[in-house]
Amino acid sequence: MTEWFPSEQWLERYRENLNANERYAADSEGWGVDFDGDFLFVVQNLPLEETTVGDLPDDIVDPLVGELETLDDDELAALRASATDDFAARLDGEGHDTFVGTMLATPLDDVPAEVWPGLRAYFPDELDDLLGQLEAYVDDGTAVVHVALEDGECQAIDLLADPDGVETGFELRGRYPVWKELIEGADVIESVMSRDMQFDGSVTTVLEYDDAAAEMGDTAGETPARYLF
Amino acid sequence: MKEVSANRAWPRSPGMARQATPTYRAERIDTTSKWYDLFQKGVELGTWNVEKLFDEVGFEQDRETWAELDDDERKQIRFLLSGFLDGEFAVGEDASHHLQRIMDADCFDDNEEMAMYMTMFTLTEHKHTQFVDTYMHEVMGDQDMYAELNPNRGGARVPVVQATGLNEIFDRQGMLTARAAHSEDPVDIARALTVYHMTVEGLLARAGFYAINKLSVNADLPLLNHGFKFISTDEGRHITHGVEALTQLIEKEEAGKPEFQGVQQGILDELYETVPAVADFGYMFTDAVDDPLEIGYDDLILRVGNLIDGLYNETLGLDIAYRDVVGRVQDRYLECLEMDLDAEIEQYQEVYQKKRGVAADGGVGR
Repeated sequence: MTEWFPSEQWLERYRENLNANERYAADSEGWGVDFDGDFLFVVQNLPLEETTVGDLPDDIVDPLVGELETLDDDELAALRASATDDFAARLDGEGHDTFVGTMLATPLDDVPAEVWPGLRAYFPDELDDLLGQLEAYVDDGTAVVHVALEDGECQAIDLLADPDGVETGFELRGRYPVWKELIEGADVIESVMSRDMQFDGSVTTVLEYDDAAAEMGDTAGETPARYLF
Repeated sequence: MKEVSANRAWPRSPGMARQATPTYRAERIDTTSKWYDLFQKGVELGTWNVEKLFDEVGFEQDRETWAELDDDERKQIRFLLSGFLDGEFAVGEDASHHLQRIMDADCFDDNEEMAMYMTMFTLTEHKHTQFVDTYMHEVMGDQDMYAELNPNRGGARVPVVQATGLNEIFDRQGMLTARAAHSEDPVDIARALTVYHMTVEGLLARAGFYAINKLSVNADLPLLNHGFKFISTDEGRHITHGVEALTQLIEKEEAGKPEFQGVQQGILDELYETVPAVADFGYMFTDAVDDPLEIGYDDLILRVGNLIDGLYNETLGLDIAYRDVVGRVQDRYLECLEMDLDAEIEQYQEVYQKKRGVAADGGVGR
């Protein structure tokens, strides 16, 4: 199954694929054994402010629209009555279309404040889960992933709800579109040299394992992804 | 008319620099040429006077700091400046002897204005030598630099430059600029300018400027910093000149002119051939001496990586094999780690002593 990027599900699939990559295992033997080989991947400028619920891919949004359009008048009236003040203020008229349109025009950044539990209950599981991850792990447009790497194995890969104080041997930072390009096959070394990405850590150590780094990139490219943005 | 002293240490501020559109026109000189503009900028901004700088900033603080530094810290700065000393000698010589002739080649459009700029160019290269050589003597004290054996007199370079292999890039620069000056072939010229302007000035010198900036956090050397700020500004114009010249050659290749075919490949070949020198130079003043002043080889290499992308990809529009480039630098770095630098230096010192006809007694010059 093709997972959404960014999401916990895609990261876990990536971890599985990386651990199934024999070339990676061979090339990264010894990595992180006598030094901290963990990475932080910092994904910046996630477009939560400028992306509305309706901008998300149709595969995710259409089921929500279907749910809301089939509400009967009483259910819709009950929902309207329980709306948050901000959502109610944006409602400009009656009827299903207005309600659905207002919902779809909600920026992702405002979903936690504007979408109340009564409405959230109609969200399909997949959308609810993805929005929950964005709420939990994205702060000011930035998500931080901790990648635990040691001796040829990716031991864990986790989105961090509270990255403050987490220290790793290496860190790679970049804007979301650059990460997307990486997953689509761009070269991480070119991205760092061109300053599209920022790298912290020992360059010489990474270059000593440059084949392993290339395999990490290749595996990302080979892990199917559907993009939220 | 009010006179402006052209003999002061400080050039006029950038805000007073001439505007892009020239005020004057001439008969034979094209005052709209990029090289005329570089020449004029050189006249305005490159007129800093080394001796006046010494007088105005003074050696006192630098000498005081030098006296307080630990031996390993002194060694680190000495190694860094040794690279600059031999580098500046080499570029000064090659500019005087070969670049002047290269700029007269038929493959360029603005020969007259290029020749004008080369006078400024060569002058500044020699001023850089003047600054580094004098600074090392006046601040760092007596040291055996084997002056009478220097390359200009058929001798050899500073032992640490020989020992790390950094000398090879200067030797290659001399060979390629001489060949290009003789043949005036566009591909030969592209190769020569790549080594001179892109690798030596664009990567090595700028890596050195970065190192001087970083070490100044831990070593208060105001004269060194002042001097290198001026040198860095001069080098910026030199690199612009090199980029403009290479761009002209590339445009003619892309226009299909037969004699220019191979220019871009020549530039890339020289990048791959000479980029390991970054490891030679970076290693000799960082990891080779345990980096007491915390310059950081890793940070330096990242900085150079950015410069390579900026020069070759963004500016010249060439398609670089990034992995090949970093792989070559890394391979050379690993070779450097295997080296016993002190033993190598001693070997070169012995060779130099023999050249003098005296007993090899482990001379102190490094």
